[in-house]
Amino acid sequence: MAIAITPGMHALPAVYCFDFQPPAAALMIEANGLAKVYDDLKLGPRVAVADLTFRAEEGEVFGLLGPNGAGKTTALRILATLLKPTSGYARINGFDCETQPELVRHQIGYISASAAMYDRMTAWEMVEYFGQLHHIEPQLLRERMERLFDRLAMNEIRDVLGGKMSTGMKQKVAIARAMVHDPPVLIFDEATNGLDVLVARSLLDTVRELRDQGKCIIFSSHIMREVERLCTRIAIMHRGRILAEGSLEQLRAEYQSEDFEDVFLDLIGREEKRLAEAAQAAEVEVAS
Amino acid sequence: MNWDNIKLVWRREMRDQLRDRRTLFVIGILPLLIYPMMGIAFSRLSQFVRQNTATVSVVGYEQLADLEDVPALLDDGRFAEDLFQQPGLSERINVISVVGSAENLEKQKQGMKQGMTDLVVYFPPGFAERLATIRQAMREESEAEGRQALPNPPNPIVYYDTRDESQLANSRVQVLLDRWQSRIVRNNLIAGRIPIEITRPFHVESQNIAPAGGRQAAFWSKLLPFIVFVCALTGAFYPAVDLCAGEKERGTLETLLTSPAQRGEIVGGKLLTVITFSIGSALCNLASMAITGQLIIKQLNAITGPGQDPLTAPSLTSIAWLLIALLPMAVMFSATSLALASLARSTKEGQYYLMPLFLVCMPLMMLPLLPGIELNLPTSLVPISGMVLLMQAAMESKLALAATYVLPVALVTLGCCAVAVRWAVSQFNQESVLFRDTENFDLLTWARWAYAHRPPTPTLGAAALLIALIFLSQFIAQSISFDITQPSGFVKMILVSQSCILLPTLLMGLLAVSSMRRTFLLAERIPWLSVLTGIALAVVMQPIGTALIELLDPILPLPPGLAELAEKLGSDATLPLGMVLLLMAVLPAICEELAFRGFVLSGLRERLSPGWAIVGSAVFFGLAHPTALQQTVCAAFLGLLLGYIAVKSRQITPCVAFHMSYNGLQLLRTSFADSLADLPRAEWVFRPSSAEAVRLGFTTPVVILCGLAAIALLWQVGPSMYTSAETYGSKDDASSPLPKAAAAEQTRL
Repeated sequence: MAIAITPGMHALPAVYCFDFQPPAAALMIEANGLAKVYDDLKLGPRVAVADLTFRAEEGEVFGLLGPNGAGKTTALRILATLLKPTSGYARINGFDCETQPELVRHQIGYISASAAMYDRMTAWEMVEYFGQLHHIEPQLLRERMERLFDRLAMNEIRDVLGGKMSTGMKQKVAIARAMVHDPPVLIFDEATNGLDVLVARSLLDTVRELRDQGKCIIFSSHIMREVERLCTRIAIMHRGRILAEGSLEQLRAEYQSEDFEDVFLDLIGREEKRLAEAAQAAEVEVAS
Repeated sequence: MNWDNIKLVWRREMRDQLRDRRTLFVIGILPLLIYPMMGIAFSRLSQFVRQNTATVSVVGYEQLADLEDVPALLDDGRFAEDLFQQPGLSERINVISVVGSAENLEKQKQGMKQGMTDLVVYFPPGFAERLATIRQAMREESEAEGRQALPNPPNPIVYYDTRDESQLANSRVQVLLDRWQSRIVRNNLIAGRIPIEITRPFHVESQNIAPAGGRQAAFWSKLLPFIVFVCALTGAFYPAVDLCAGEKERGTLETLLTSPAQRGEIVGGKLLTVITFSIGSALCNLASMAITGQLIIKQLNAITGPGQDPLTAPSLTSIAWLLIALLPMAVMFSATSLALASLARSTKEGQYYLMPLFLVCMPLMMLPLLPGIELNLPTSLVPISGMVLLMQAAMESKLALAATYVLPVALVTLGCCAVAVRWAVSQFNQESVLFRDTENFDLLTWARWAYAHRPPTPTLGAAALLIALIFLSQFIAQSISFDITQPSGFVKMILVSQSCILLPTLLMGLLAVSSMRRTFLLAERIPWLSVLTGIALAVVMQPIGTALIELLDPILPLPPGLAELAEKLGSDATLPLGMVLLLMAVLPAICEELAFRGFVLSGLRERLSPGWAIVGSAVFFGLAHPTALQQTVCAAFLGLLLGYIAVKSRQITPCVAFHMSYNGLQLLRTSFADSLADLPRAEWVFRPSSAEAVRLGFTTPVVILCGLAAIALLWQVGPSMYTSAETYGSKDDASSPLPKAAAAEQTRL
């Protein structure tokens, strides 16, 4: 009887079959027809995300790749319960993002692009604060924080105020803060923004480590190399839509190109062309 | 709502704010510095006033030297010592005595411009001569009969300019000249053998019989609430901006919102922090002021001198009252600041919102300082002002007055607190507020958008805005005084008071809704049956309304004068009866029904159940009759009835008919009370009334019968009764009318 118990498993509601087969990976993120439309007073309704459907399982890094303004942040904010979708639904570990936001928030750790950190709070206080908000027992919280600070090599900045930290340090605190309640799902929104090569590399290593521990990670980026190195599956987003989805190999095979950057540019070029044609057709129709 | 989370957020925010030097400086250090600095400046000023040595040029005094029996103004190159109240003060005025000539005068005036001298006193040629002539005249008059005219006086002139030194010297020298003059008068009277008492046959003595602390209390009650509440407002605003806009700016809000703490808990924690700082700031200011005050009061009392009632520190009771009032005010200011600050994207933008908040709050805080504004029902209902007035009354120990209005002030303040807190929470629940980064807001575009997308019937917010507009216009109109004893004044008063209701209603009807017909419940053709029912109801409601007034009169009597006025208006021969009916029955019926049963009721029904909407519109209808509490209650009662008719019939016309007939009948009954009482068997229906405003009451059987008839008529009110459904065209009503066949059946009945 071989059961791989990963650190994130205690939060899983899945029932494990005591079988000789390793357990099937549990579905962690499920987005179905997600759409988000903003009302802009001048320009009329603006579609940020349209008909987004994807799934991600435990032990997987799901990459959202897309240029700036593709709708990645909006999609992740819906998953993080910050925004409510205009239509469609999203579930995290079986909990609905719209109707059970409090439960969803216990399941996720959210790391935003800004690596937000309170200026007048030390690294230790910041992580402790979020641990307390998750109602973790003081003793357990302390132990977990000691471990996290060791693992992320943060002991040096333990008592440094946020205002005095570099972007890299802030990003580390953000990861520690997002992991303090040991959530099964981690959401990284353009987390390597503004980081130098060394720090970015160490962040990617951390993400990989987390994946190996069985966490389900959703990782958005506009940098292809990061996605290539890290993600088990990738969705390419543009103008709020997913243009293609699959593993790196699948995408390469489908678009018959070894260079992933070519795949990406090709997809976006095709979509732009399609949109331009559609707009022209609509114009002709109006004129006629 | 988890209290632990609120406490966690509160503790974090407090720690964060206490680590912020800017906040600490503005909230804690600044008040500790500013009052002592003001105190120092004040004491320096008073020192200057007392110790400043003035230089005064006296031109042409030499002509007085030879005059006998004139007391000396100058003595040994200074003003005569005995002209001063205290010895030694003459040394504070240096005198430059110059021989009188036009040239010298000009020179001294130039000198004053250059600051060489502070004041020029000029005795024109012939002044001494004039004094001598008067003296001579006095002597001769005592012997001879008749009086001779005295020559035109060449008066002394004092020149001064705008410099502080010059003005100060002027006020000091004027006192000396006055004293000198009265001495000359005394000498003249002695010379004329007239007793001195003739100039002052009696002396008026004034005594302040207010209790020892009365004057003090009045002074502090004006000053303290104002200062403390302003401090509470500023103390709330800066942390609020940092807690909302600052957190948005740093991006930490997004992170916080993904934590398990609910929005309400986050707002709760933040609100507690802001309240803490608001109260803290007010207390810091109060304490600092108390310490500095001790010094200033001493200085002040030294200047005012003996004789005057010395100023003392405010009593501990008044401070205690202030502290009690501080809590709800701090909550209100904090919640409003928090909601307002959450609109801002950055701290800088947040600071801009302080100005509008101040512009709204300051007049409300200043209003009670105006003379003539007193604590009464209308003023107690004004947010902030009511509380300040209540504090004034409590601090002046007018506890009975304060107790009367505790309830309205508390209700209004708590209501405002609740609205402000709900607003703050709702702001935190709005995506557009939390993530405003993409939106480019432009007021004009928004206004255009809002106008283009206006709903057919008003929203709750639009109804609230209309109520606010009506109250505001009524409040402004209060300041216009009419001579209502004159017919023209009376007409103007009615027109103005009705415009206060009609104009905002029409404005909102034009701008805030797309369907005036549905909003104001207008039928395409006049449903005559409904109008008749309205009139019938008004007739049977007369005895009931009168009974209500008689019931209320002992508890809530009309203010003196109003009862007589009400009576006089009915029987006033100066205005034709038709005119009075038009002004007091027809006009109010149209204006008030359009506003309260039309717009307000439709707006309230957007969110409330019909029952609560009727109650709400009735309460506001009552409050729009602020002249007397009795009137307010009666109007609210009739408002319930009118609201019920409007909701059931879905038409405004029966309401207008009811309102018009009710007012008209009441007026006619008062006008023709005597003739009615003389009718045969009048005693079966009427009896003399105990209430002042009601001349003719109704007998109990009539009241009971009419009550039953009213219930029966109200039972009949309903859409099925009047016309078919298409008249209303409203598909949104939940209590949909009976099927058409049944409706037709009912109509035949």
